[in-house]
Amino acid sequence: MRRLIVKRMLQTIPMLIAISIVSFLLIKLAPGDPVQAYITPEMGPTDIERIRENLGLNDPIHIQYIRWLKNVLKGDLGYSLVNHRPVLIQIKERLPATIGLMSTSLIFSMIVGIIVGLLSAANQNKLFDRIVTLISYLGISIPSFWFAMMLIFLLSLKLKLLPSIGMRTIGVHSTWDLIKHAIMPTLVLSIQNIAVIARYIRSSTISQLKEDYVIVQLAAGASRNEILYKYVLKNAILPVITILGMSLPSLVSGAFITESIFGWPGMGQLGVTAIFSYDYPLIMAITMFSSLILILGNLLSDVLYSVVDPRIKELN
Amino acid sequence: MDKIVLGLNLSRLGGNFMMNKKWLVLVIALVMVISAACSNTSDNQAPADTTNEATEGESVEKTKVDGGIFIFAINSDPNVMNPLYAGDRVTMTINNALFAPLYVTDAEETRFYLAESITPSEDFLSYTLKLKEGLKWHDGEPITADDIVFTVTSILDESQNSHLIGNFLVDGKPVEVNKIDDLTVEFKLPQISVPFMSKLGAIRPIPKHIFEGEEDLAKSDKNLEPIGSGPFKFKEFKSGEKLELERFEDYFGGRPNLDGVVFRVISDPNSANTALLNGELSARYITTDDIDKFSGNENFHMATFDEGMLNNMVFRLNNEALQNKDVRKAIAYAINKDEIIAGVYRSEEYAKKAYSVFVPTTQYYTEDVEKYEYNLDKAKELMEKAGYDNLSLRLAYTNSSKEQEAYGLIMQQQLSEIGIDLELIPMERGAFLEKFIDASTTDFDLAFNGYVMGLDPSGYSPLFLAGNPNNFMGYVNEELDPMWDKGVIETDPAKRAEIYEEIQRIIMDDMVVYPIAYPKSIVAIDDRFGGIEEARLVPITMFEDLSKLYLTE
Repeated sequence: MRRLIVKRMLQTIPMLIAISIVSFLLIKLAPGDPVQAYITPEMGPTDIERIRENLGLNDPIHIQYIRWLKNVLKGDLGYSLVNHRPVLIQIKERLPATIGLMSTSLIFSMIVGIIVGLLSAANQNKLFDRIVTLISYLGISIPSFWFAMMLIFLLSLKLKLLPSIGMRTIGVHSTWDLIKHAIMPTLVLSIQNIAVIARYIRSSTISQLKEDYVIVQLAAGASRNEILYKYVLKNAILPVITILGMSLPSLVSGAFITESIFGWPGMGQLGVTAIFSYDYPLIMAITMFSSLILILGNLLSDVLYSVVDPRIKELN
Repeated sequence: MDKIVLGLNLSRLGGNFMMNKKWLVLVIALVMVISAACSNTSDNQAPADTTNEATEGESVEKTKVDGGIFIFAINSDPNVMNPLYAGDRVTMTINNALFAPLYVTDAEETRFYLAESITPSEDFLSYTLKLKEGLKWHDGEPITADDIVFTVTSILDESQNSHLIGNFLVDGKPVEVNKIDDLTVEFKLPQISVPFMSKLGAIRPIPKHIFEGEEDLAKSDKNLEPIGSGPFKFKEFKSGEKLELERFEDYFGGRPNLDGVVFRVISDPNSANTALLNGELSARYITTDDIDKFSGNENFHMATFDEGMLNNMVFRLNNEALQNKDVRKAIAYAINKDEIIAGVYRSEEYAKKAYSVFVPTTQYYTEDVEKYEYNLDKAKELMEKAGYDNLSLRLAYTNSSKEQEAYGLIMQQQLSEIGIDLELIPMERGAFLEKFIDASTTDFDLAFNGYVMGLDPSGYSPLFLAGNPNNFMGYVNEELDPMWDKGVIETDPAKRAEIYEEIQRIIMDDMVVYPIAYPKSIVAIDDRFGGIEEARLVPITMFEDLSKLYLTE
């Protein structure tokens, strides 16, 4: 087990380096230039050249990359080109909001997805199942920004139940206020995962219900609910671990959109602004952090899987 | 493998879906509910629209109360909360609350803030600045001549990279700054520069006792909890969330009415509109598309004001056909500005037709130029004279700008009347700018641009001087270039006016930039707030003096 984890951890290093090279290249190849933010009409070409030189943008791209990599290995992610603050501090400020939103959404979608999927399978082809099927079908296909706007429209503008934006009301410091602000972003970020998890649980429960052991239990006189919650759930829940790993990319990218729409002060919002202002050091740092979250998430789900199902460990 | 499973699930789901017609009915019902909910708003708002027109203007019954918080929307965190580095709208708006300027000059008058007076010497080579008495920084320390000298020396220090350095260079040579006594500073110019006076006024001093000895002012931690001189002082900053400022009791312009101002970070424009409708914001710039949402709502006061901006079309003179002045003039005559204003802005209420390369708020602006009023016959005649009966041109613009796209489509139609086939090239903003600022690129022949150059006419010179990196046309007029220098050193206002009016006439006659419109800023302000006229709506920062805003009941 420990060997597996160590092996997988070591594998992430070349992966991260590859990601950093590709993103560095992509960012540099994209049209536009951070110097645009510094130029005023009073500046002559020499001033512009001076700023470019000061920012180190005149060096060849591989020199720039190696300099960046060296600094990162020393733990120095550099300064933002726009607000001149250390990148690491900015990420640290934003990380809690993003991790908070993502983990709430993950837990919420697991709980709701599993319950709904199980009930749906237990009531196969009855009204409840059909409604769940329809809603999960919608949940998978609805674009999250549209869903977000609809929620804001209904819950904030029409019913005046929830605040439409931000994380806290100005001047209010209660937990309840924080929860009220978090409801809509969490819903938006969860909807797709809930739908996917519910579908998985439903179909794996249905196939489990046809297994011989269920028939044996039924014949032995066990109640349907007992079988469902004691035995079937355990087996049906297994694929959810894989979905967790799979749903991480959509969570990370979903966070970018959700945070922008709801003004949630997380990394996603920071990333969007950084991209629009060509803030190279910040874009690189956010890309690397997001990749790290993804890789660690996948690693975690692999490890969990082999814990739950020892056959997988043997395969490795 | 997992993905395949998901695919199967979906297709099974799809199968169920198809088989059962009940589902279809349900979906349709759902769609109808949602669309009904949407259309509901417009129904509700329609009657309010008619009542609003009658109540335009300040209502009399409202009483002024002490306190209240005014909430602005900003689309990103501020950059550096230090006026030496603020070049973007967000940070400038924030700095306007935190740091007071010396004085503000506009076309009508000079309003003094930190400064008591500014007096030029008889030869216009030195200026004496007097500060008001008893001024205080937010931490209670007095504001003195030392702070002014420190601020200007820091700006002039090249290693500090302040973009304001140009304000204190005259013909490349630095202005000399000397302290006379605690409240008096003298500036000595290497040569006469009339625009210097208004450039000096715009400076917002920074405190010497805070920043003295800092190696890199831009990266200083002191900028995170700025000490300023404006009506509101720093309270709390949460990155990505908000910046809170609170009343500065000792503000020299009198105790501000509001308890504080807050800047909330909202990057998505739709979300910001919703937040404003929902009362989570107090004011916001809105676009012509959104006017109906707010003007029909009695909770909002709508105001428009001149942003000092000219939207224009740039001719690239490296195109062979466009090197011919008659072709450029033909294009100008073939464009119908009335159609553009009506199509893009609804009416002149939201954008004025532009006739000069200066904006109306710039000193010595004149409309006494060739106006190129729509004249198809003349346009055709000029094309014939130039020897072109058909011509293909490429027009580039930023793809995210709805305004520019609309200009393009209308002009494409209009120019086809004189045999010009206009190809539209929408480009991503960064890509467009990169090509646009280099006048030698040949990716397009025409491009849309917009600029805000300020009050002083000399500020426009970089746009038209031969070889200047801001001359996006590649325009060379040897007769014109020396006139800009003459304008800067001419101290007699009547003669200055003559020079700049002549400059406008020459540029318009050469037709290297086609002025389209002077768009106005439209703001929707929460109707509970008063004092908007006293606070003055101004370009970029929205309000000039935030201390004058107040809450009503």
